Amino acid sequence: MTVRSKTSDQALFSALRRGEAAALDELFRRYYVGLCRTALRFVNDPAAAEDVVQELFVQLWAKRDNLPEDPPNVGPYLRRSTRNRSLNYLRDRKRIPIDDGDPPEVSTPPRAAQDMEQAELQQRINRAIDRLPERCRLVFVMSKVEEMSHREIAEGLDISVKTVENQMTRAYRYLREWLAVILYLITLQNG
Amino acid sequence: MKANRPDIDRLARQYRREYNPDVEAALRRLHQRIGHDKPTAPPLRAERTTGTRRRLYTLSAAAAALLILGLALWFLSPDRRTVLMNDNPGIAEYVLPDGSQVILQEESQLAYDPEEFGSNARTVELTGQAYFDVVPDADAPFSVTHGERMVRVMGTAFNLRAVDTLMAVEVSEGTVELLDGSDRKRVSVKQRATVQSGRPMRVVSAPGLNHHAWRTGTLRFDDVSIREVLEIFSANWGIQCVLSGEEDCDFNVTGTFDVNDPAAILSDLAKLGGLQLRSVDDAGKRYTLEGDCRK
Repeated sequence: MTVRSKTSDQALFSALRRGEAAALDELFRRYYVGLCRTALRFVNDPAAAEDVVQELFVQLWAKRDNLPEDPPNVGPYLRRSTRNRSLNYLRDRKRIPIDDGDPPEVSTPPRAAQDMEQAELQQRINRAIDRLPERCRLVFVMSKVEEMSHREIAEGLDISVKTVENQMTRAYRYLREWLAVILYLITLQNG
Repeated sequence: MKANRPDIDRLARQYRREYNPDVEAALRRLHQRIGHDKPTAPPLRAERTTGTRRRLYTLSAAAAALLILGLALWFLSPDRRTVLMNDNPGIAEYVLPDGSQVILQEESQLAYDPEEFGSNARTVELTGQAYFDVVPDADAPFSVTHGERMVRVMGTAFNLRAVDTLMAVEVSEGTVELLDGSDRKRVSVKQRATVQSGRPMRVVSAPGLNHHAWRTGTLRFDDVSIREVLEIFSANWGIQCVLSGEEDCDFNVTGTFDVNDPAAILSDLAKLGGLQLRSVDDAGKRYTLEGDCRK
């Protein structure tokens, strides 16, 4: 039966700097799922997401001598690193388009008023957001799911803050429609 | 019907949350890449000594307050359950084996059997107060028990307080079912249900989700009676406040408050009714409201 240590993240980080392999494993266990979810939101491909996070940990180990002496808030530190690596991944594969086409025409036929299973609801949310034009999707996800500031998003994607704001407006316009059906069915379910 | 931005934001936060990579397999792959010769290091053993605090920024949309996470202890209890504890000031956040999140208030604990959890059912036992954000899984219903009572969950988010003979659940997303013997009630978003020895189970509307305030740091009152306000302060922070003076003193309160210091907010609210807050102990937990009640 696995039991996690009470060791704080800070202590693990320091142990990692000293070259203790067990510390790397423990940090991995604590953060892997969360970081993979973050990466997935950017790269939209589970295998690629795991690759990005794996590479992060490989580098953490390889460059452990260079880790900051004063342990940072480990969670946000790892998360920021994951985001940057995810963006690099996209840039290397030229997957951040310069301009956005129009989203595909979709008509989501409203289902009859039945209970919508939670899993299906989850799928619909994923699909609705994935339907956004890629750059628009990235901006929206970085803002509303990764909680980055408009300035951080602008820097990460190499666009202006104004463009970020425009993309957000666009995203809301599309999602308003596409998610309206889901919300309607949720209110029926809860009503 | 159109969706507004807060609704969209709320749904958006679920984006890709169901994704659950296999951590141990990934860890083995990592070891291969790094070229570690030895097998995966076993998870570290728990120790009894307390350690340093750690800080984490919450994702709560409401207060931008910095929350200090108490250091929490994992240990094996004699009956082979896993017990998650928080006996430090502040909150402690855990992820259960299925990916569900639990945030424990101070002096609360959660127990479960890790061998049983997740196969056909996910059952945990709570003493104290916690917020749950449950990963949906129709094949393995999630339940939180305390004594004879239980909250059954359909993949959702809610606040639960379970102490002595009381169980009170307030739902922020989805639907739960509160069970006590043959008595059962469904509780939906922005509703609260309580059951306690000697009192029937009841469900009330909770538009402000004010029983989450210990975690979110926000109170929202829309024409709420001061008596209910006092009850909310008690449930969230253990603050006992008595309305001394006229028996029928009552007034309503409206407003949204960021709560960094519960006593200060309570004092402001008291003034709305022309009353003064007075402390009657050193621990900051017991107060009275005094004065000429402005009804």
